[in-house]
Amino acid sequence: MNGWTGNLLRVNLTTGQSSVESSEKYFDYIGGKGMANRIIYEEVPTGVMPTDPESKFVLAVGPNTATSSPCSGRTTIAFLSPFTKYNAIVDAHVGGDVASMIKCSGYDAVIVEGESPTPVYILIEDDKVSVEDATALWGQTTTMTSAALAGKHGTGHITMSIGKAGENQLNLSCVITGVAHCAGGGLGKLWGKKNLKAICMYGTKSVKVADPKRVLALNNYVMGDLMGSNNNHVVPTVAQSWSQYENTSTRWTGHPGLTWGAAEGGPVDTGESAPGQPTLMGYRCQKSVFDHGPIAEQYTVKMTGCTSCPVRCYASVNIPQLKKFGRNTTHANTCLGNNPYGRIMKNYTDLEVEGDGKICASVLSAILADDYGLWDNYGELAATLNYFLNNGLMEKIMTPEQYAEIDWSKRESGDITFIEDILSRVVDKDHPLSTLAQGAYYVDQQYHDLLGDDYLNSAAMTLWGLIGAKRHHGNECAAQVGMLTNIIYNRDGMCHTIVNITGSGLPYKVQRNIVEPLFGEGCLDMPRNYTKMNESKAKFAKFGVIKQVLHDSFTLCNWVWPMTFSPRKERGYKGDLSVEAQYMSAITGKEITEEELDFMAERTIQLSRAMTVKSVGSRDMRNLHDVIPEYAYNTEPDVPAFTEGTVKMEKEDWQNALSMFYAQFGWDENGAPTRESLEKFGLKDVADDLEASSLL
Amino acid sequence: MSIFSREYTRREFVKLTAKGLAGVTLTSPMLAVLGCTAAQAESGQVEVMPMSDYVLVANKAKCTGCQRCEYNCTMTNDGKAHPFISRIHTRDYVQYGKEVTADFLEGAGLFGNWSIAPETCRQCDNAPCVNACPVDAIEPDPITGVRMLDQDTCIGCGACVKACPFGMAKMDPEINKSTKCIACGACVAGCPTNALKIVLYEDLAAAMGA
Repeated sequence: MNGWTGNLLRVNLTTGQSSVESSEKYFDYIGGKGMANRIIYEEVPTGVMPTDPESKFVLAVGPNTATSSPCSGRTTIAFLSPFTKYNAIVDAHVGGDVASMIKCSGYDAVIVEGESPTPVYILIEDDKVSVEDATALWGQTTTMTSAALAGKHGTGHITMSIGKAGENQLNLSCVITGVAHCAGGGLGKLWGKKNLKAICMYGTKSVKVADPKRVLALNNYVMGDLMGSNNNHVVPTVAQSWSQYENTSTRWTGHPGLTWGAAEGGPVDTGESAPGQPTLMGYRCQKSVFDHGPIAEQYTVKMTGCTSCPVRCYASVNIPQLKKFGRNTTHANTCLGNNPYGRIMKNYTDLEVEGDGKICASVLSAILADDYGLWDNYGELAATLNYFLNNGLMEKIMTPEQYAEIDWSKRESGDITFIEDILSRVVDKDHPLSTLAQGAYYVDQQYHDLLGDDYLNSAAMTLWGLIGAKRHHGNECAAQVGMLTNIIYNRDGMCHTIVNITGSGLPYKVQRNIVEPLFGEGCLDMPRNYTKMNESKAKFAKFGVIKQVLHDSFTLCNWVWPMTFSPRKERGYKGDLSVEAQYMSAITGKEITEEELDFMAERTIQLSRAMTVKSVGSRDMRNLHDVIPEYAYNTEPDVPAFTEGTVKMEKEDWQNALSMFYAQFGWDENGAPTRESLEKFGLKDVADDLEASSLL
Repeated sequence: MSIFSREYTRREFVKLTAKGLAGVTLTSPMLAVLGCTAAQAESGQVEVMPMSDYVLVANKAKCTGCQRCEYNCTMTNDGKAHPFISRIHTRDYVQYGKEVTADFLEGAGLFGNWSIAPETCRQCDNAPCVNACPVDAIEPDPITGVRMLDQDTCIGCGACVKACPFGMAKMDPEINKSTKCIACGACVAGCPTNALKIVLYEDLAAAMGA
């Protein structure tokens, strides 16, 4: 079989048994998110809670995973959300080396069900699958768990594990692999409840493709002609000999004179890497300087990242002065993972070098969080901690003794041991601070008397929705378009299709000239100079989520894909949105068009929306699910929406935006799928199910 | 360049780098050819593997652990993505180096100091795999000297796997054939950070004589 392995692995933690089934009936869902969502739909009935024994989670890869295509080292994990209102379907997405190992072990998906009475880990070595005792690992950090299992089973064995946060079943707990690659969404809580400490894998099988030469040619095409840097930013920050544009805000930070300053054997210059030089593209994203600022250059050893990815977005830094905190001095992460909790400080005291306090706080907090397996929820937990700190609420949720134990003055004085003081209590299930790691919705439920209506609606929290989901590229990104890309999810949206365009570094006119022919006039507003909703924006938003779901199913990294733009001037900077379909054709041997592949991705959106309707228990998604917080309308009170300089939204326009977006999917004015929209995608059984539940 | 001068250069270079590049004073032209700095060479970050008519240079400071080399190797030679049988080995060493030590946080690999060393075939002079093969499926190429594997002749006995002192030869478990390295260069051509480099003795000879 080409692309897919054709196998599903099922592991039952109650019985300790495993079995293999055919995955073929899920191929219409592509793989990854689509496959995993469908399995959860079929096997976890509505009404089951995330931590019930009947709850399951599904790790899934897709036909493109580990075929050599760039950025295909992604795994999607589907399960019921423990942290957002309605406990509906969510996905976690993780990189590292997990996807390759699942595929090379011979599986498209791994279904984990049941509960173990004692701590266990799952060992997968091709066809040999066992549930092993993990009593000795319980209580260990994620790093030590990986090392212990690699020491026992082999240096190449890849481990995913939970830390103290998952063991203690915090809603905001995650699963970590490869030091810092994080599967979020509250997945750690499900593992903790199931007494599952880790999954350890090593696969020796191949991934077969129908036309290997065509796949290799596509790799060269993508890496030579289409791919830029992280988020597919196609314009360098500093002018290079070949470049027409430069833009200081992009993630193509590499340039002559900027180095991996702490590389062994002396600094490695990131240099020029013109389009058509795939053997240099790993130097384009000098992410430590992007994330931490110029001071990070001297601590940068190199960039790392996921299997098969040439972009390398993991800033790998060695900060010797961290030794004094009794922790390791090295850590690698990216984006918010590079500073999950340093932001709870008000000031930063220098340690050894002028201005090093902030980077030390950021990296120390990342080391702690990843070892605890504490999920930042795209900054929500830090925002909640700050909300309680800044509003004098900490004293109100603790006993006087507990409050007196903490030296709160450290926050002001810049003593970064404050971060560990706080986080060590957050992951302690018996300490009140752990209640702040429930996710914003449940925090509000518990402390509404203290918080009133402000907390969930505040700009300080920047949620996309009152279900407790963080905004992850919303109205600040292409106005209504960005916000709309969030609403099909029950967590932060994580859609990068749109922000990869607006952040590409190309001048607005160049961007507009490429996307308007695709989606219509007016689809892309000038940054911070927004206009009212229109049909073109609705099409553009739909494109955003279709490609994202395609990538999460295929699998590919939506943090880089799709290839909307190219760094090549001679292409007019136009990318190629059909490449995924070209890969699918080369991999499976069956020709498929971009439209046909997008249709398959939309099937999953229809399904997951129907699943959410069932979890909500109402068709009224507009008023119960797709509700954005007041800050989106209230920021800058004296500035009207749709004037230059503001990202402010307007209530009537948002309702209009929802209507237009719903119409794109064939949903009704409630925002719920109809029989027609479901049957168009072969989902008659889902329509029947909704009808039987009086939800159609 | 004649075979003689190639072999002379090879012998000289192997002698020069018998204990690796650390401690070897390399001239600027040689550093340019090898694609590394003197500091990288002196700090042991650069491994050179003298082969038949070229040197494979693996720069541990530049390797980012993406494992594209393994994909490119097997897609090119085996028509499938199969890291386990790759002729260059990265994934087994990418996390901790060759073993998980008590001080792994300061050791090699992604869990330590990120020093990542892909391993590949040395194309040994007196190659144990050539000597061990009972059906002469591994033979030096008469022109390049590369120890070439003829998969049609290979009977899948695994003698080369057992004989290789570096653990480089692998058996493809799906076709029961050896996948010994034939120095095709696919791993080098696809490395996104130029951490792998093939240097011809011809170029090295010119640099050594410069």
